[in-house]
Amino acid sequence: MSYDLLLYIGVAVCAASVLGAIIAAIIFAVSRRGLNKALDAEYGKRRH
Amino acid sequence: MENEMPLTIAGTYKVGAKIGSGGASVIYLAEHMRLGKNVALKADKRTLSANPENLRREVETLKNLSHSYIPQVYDFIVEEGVVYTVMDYIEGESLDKPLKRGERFPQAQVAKWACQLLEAVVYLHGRPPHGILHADIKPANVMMTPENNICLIDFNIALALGAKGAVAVGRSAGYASPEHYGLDYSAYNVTRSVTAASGAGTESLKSSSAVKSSAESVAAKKPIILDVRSDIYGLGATLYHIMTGERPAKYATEVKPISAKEYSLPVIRAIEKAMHPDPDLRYQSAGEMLRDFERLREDDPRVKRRKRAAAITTAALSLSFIAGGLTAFTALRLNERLQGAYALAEYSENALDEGDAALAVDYALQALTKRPDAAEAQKALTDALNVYDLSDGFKKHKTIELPSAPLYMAISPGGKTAAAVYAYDVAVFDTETAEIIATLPAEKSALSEVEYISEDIIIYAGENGIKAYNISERKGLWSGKPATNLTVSADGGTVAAAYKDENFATIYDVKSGVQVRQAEFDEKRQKVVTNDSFANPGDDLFALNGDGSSLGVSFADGSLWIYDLTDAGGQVKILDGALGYTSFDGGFFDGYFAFSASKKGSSEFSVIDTVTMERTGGFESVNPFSAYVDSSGVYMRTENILVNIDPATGEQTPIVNISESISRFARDEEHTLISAGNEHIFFDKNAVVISRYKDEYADDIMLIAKDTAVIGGLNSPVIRVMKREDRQGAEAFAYDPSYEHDEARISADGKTVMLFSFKQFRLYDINGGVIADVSIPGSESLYDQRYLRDENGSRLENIYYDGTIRAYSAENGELSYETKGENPDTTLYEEFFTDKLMIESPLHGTPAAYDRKSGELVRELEKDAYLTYVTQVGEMIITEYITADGERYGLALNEKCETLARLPYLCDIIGDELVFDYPNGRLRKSRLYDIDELVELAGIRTAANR
Repeated sequence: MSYDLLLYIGVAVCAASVLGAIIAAIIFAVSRRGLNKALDAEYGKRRH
Repeated sequence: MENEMPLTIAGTYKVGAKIGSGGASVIYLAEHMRLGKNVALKADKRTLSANPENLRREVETLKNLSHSYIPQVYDFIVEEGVVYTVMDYIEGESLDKPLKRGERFPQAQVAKWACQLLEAVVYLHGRPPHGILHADIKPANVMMTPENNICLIDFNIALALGAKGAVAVGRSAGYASPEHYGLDYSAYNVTRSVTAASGAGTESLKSSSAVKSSAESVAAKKPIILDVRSDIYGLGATLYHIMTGERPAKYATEVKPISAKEYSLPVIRAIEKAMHPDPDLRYQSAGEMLRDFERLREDDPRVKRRKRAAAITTAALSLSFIAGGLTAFTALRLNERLQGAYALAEYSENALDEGDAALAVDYALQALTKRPDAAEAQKALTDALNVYDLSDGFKKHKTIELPSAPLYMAISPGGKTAAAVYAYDVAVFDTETAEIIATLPAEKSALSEVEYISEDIIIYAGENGIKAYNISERKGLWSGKPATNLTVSADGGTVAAAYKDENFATIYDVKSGVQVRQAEFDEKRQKVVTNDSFANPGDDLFALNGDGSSLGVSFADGSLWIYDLTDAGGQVKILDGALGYTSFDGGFFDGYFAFSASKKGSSEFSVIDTVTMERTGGFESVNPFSAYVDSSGVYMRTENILVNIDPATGEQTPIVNISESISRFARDEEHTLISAGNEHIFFDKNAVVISRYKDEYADDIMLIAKDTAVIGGLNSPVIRVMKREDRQGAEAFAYDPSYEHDEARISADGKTVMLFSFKQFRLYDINGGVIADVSIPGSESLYDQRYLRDENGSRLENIYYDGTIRAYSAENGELSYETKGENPDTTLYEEFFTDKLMIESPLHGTPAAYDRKSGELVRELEKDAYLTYVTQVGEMIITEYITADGERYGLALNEKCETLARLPYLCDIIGDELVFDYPNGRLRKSRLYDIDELVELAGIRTAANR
């Protein structure tokens, strides 16, 4: 395997990780909203 | 009591409506008459005299309490035997009322109230010294305010906890912990207990119908001791009731489990844990239970799952990012190492080009250290070590860098040292190590010269005068007058010195330094440029004869004279200045003076008999001549010819005759070095080429002595040293180099050697005896020749265009057989096969290697030469080429067809041995070196150089 190909693979994996992290963050944020609503309904709003 | 309730109490409180009652008290709404504030007024039914201790205890317990969810006690009044407690009026209703109405509360609400109740209970349990136990937590004792908060009320049977708990004084069924009944569920033991107490709504403690135990009789008289865990049970039971709408069963073991379908698991778990029959398995503190209620969200399985998923995702992405980063970093590092190796390989090549083989080896080793598998690095090392150059001849050795470009140089007779004049010192250096041995201050003129008297002694134009210096002893011997031009007699006994354009020369005895005489030039002066700081035109002739008795001098006026340095004196004009010559060369040999004189468009060479002072021979030409005289004879160079001239007879013997113009030459008894075009070519004394190099570096100064050659340029401080190497150890066969041939082969049995071309072949036995000399018939119709070695022996096959094949035996040179086959296809290219490659060699075009399996192009091979053969030797592939000039060479390749070594003059491969055919009539053999052997060899050479 040429070093250039190895470099591209490495960069691609890094980029995919970053993209994956962004997508995961969006998914988690959206799902957290839904879950918080359900939790608020079951346990009441958070006490501060 | 109600009928007897006064209208005011203590003149302060105006009694209003009854708002509640319990077993021991009635509660009224009252108004503080001065403040106008509503308060709750609890009139205790128990008279002061009847229960003074209980009342005092309650007061003591309640008076200091201050919490958001516990009513504040303001006052304690005794009036007409009735104890009145004044406390916060809590608006709202107790939770038992909506429960009785059949109302239920949502889990979220219950969770909120749980936290509030627990905060209140934590506060109570934390009161010094040991805490306060409510002891009767139930929905009836929890007020729901209009703000939807709760307030824990009714501390009738609250107990100040002692160090070991408190004695129970009452209980409410369903909310009272098993301890209230004297039941012990730890390890499934249940014991009976008894006491007596009463109170409406709160059951008196009676004997339970629990399983009898051996401790029953003892327990019957023991008071029931409660602790904070009983309150926790009561609280749990209260939450159970208000959430499910069902009052819990009296006995803890009979309490119905809460449905997991309707309520969340964390809430269920918390309430069930609070209501565990075994107090040791309940929450051990209200604070613990409060923490669980505050963490309901965090303890929810969905939240936990989500957190776990987030953690796993984060970990996976982080690992992936790190892996990607490491991969990219590794690739960059590996590439950096590879590029570094390439750069070092290039440095090695450059060093070798410049003439420093030792430095080239160094760089190549560094390149291999970075990337042992880089073909460029291996080739650089092979080139630097020159392992496959088995020719005898001058090879690049080292370079030495002076502080500035040399102006003049001389080499010792044995070639061990050389001296260079630069601005303005004389540097003496060792030609083997290329290290400067001595630096001597010189006359500040570009005309300054240095000459060797012997291997160890030099004469040079020193600062403040001519000096003699012993190199090995590192000391000066003598000094004399200022001088620039120097000449030494062939016998080494006399030196003549002239200073710039002074009109005399001083003659010294070399041994003593004594000035023996002075040669007067009258008005004549040697040619000196206007600014002699930078340039020495080198046009002067200033030479002593063999014994120092005659001095030849050219002058700026174009004249050439010979001065008699004996006592007789005198001078003879050899050339008149009117002839206008501007450049002179020459010197004395035997009894003759040979010189060349040149001007633009005209040149002459002449030999003068120094006895008769008559011209014995010479010639003129429009092309410049250059005469050179040393102890071996008289030489003359013009255009592309260098000849030796017998001064007596004028007979010329060619030394060099090449196609290019000779720009410069140097010679000693054994060798001649010429510069022609961009090549340096070395000849042996038989005029046979022994080494040749392409060299684009300046070579204004060339010197050769014994096995050393030194080359320098007037515009570069770098001086290149070349050393003669002898590789006779690798010799396989020697033959007459004048025999014309294209190829050479050794027979399979090693007994004969055949040199052949299309025209002819000669067969030798291995000892050099000629077995056969054959002219090949019909050679003009020959298509190809093949030398075969197989089970049928070794032979030369000649293949003709008409398909005829004639084979000659390599044993005796006789015709072995003749066959007729198909005409050879002259349009086809050749194909060669190795284990992994198919190599095509087209008639016209660049040969290329292809992968045998996939057919993909691996690499194109040499563009400017014709591929004649391919041989696989181990893992290496040896390709053989012939250039348009007829030069034969090979390239050793790896399996990617990257070049590992160049094999000049390769003619054959037998097994794993390479055979080289050198122009001087030598066949030499070498094996193929692997990289480890090359590195080891480099290490040996590096150590030897040190």
